[in-house]
Amino acid sequence: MSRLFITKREIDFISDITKEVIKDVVGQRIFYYPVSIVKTQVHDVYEEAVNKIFETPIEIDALVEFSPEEVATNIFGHEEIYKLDVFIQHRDLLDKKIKCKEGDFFSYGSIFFEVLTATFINNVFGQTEHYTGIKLSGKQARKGQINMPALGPTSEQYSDVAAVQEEFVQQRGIATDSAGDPTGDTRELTEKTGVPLTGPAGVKVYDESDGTTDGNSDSAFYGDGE
Amino acid sequence: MAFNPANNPTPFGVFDDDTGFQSEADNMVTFVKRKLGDDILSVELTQKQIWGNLEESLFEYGSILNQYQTKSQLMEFMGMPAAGELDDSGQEIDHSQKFPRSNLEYLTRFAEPYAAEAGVGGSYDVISGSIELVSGKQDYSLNSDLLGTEKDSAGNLLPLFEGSQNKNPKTRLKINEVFHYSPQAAYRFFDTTSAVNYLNNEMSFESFTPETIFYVLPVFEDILRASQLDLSNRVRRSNYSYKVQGTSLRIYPAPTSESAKRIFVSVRTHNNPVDTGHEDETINGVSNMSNIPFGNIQFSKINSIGHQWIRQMCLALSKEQLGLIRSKFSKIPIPGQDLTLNGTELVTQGREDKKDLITQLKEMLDSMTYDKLIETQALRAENMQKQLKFIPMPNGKAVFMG
Repeated sequence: MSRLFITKREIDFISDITKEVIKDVVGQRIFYYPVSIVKTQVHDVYEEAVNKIFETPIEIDALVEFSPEEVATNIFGHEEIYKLDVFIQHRDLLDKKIKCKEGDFFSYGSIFFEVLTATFINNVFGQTEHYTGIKLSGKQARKGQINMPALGPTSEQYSDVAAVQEEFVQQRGIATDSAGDPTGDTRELTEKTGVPLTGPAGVKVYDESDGTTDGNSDSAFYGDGE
Repeated sequence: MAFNPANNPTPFGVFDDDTGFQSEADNMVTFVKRKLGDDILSVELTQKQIWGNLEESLFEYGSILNQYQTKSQLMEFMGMPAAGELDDSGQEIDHSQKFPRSNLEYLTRFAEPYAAEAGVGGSYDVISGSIELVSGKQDYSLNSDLLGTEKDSAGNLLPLFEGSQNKNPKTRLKINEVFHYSPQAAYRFFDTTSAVNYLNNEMSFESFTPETIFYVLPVFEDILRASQLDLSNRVRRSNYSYKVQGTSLRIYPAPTSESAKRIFVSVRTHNNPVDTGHEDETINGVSNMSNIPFGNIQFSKINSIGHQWIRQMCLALSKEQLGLIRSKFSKIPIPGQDLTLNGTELVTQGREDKKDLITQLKEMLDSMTYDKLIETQALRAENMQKQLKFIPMPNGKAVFMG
């Protein structure tokens, strides 16, 4: 579509809608582990780092295309290998000043992946300076490559506190969340249309903290109980 | 941001000073955004867009209402000061939401031409001129020989329809009167020595005589007697008369050198309907729906029935507007896939809601024009009569037969 019809305002609109889908509706996220170039020692001969040092993991909202594991059989038995495609909005990365590159790692659930490719996907209505996002293609990291505790949610089979996400709260372009931590979420339209009337909505999908002892799973939907 | 300190909150700003409108505008933002789901997902409408929709809803409501008031009241306001004119206090005249007294101006205005033809009133120009008689010449053109009072550079009188003597367009003339008779009936009327007069007075004297007998007669008696005298003169005496032949006037008898040198003729012309000979400001007054002084109805002066309609209309307009925004693109590219927005459905819903609201309001108002109210009242009275027939008459109030 021509530039006559797609101006900065339209690009902002598309960007905000995309953020809304990813951050306020879907709610999927990965934890990104950039390899620290400064701290990691590279082997002089092979120019590879056997032991990688990672920066602090970054939580990134994303659309995750889950694929079932591939089972390979060899002389040692069966091996399950996961592959994952992750789509991240380009402007969100720019806002947060994050750069994704091959060789870094990320976790989704309890599994860690190594980024095999980080490619730009289609640009917005043919405008070369605006990309819709970046696609990270990851392959399950071999044991020993990264030794980090998996950040939740991981799986309901585990009993640790963060294994199941009990609450989902939207971001809605508001600078800080309810705990006062920065969201890093900026939206152009929020400045024009105003913040949501009741603040970001949230849903507690599994809430047993209400003091009831009925043994049932409760849910508070979008601030009903407030 | 609240409505009040906002800079140019609405496109036209007609209601911005109305405090009722101001507080409603702030509430409408909450109402519209909540109804469209902003608590959960963004509604891409700014406050000013919603305020603009509220203003449009009020315009729409006022316009429809005024249209129906026009149906009911136009006749009463015909000729009155039109929209845009100022009243004594310098304010623009506004008769919306008023219940005017009825009048018959419309009816009498339309009856004027008939009254004029019948000679019992009306509004028209009578102009008079004179014809210089020439010995032996009987036919005179009304167009060229009928002279007015204006003179040319040589000092000659100009024909009546030349120069600035008559502002009405040149067209057919209606001869009003030709002063070609002596008022002989009057002479004879007052001539106490005339035998005819005595006869007409049944051989008695009247109040105008110098005698001492006085008595009262009805006016028609005088009129009938004058007519009788005129007729007598026409039939029995030599006749001064005229005849209209096309655009000429034929004078009887043929003028002689002893005849009067000039006869006077008064004629009627078609009036210029928007520039009459007399002052008439009503011509520039209300003439149709476009200039009846019905202004915008302020929000504070509308009751709860109207408020609810306006809110619903504002919501419908906002829905349509949001739909138009969301349907600018059929699909939006998001990472890895395309996203289809619900713009088209919103536009359809918004327009349907809007149409339903307008239809509902119009149907309601249709049943409330003054004509319909009278019909309803008449029907009610008729039905009441029917019901009363079934009520037993109490003893002593009716005559029982048998």
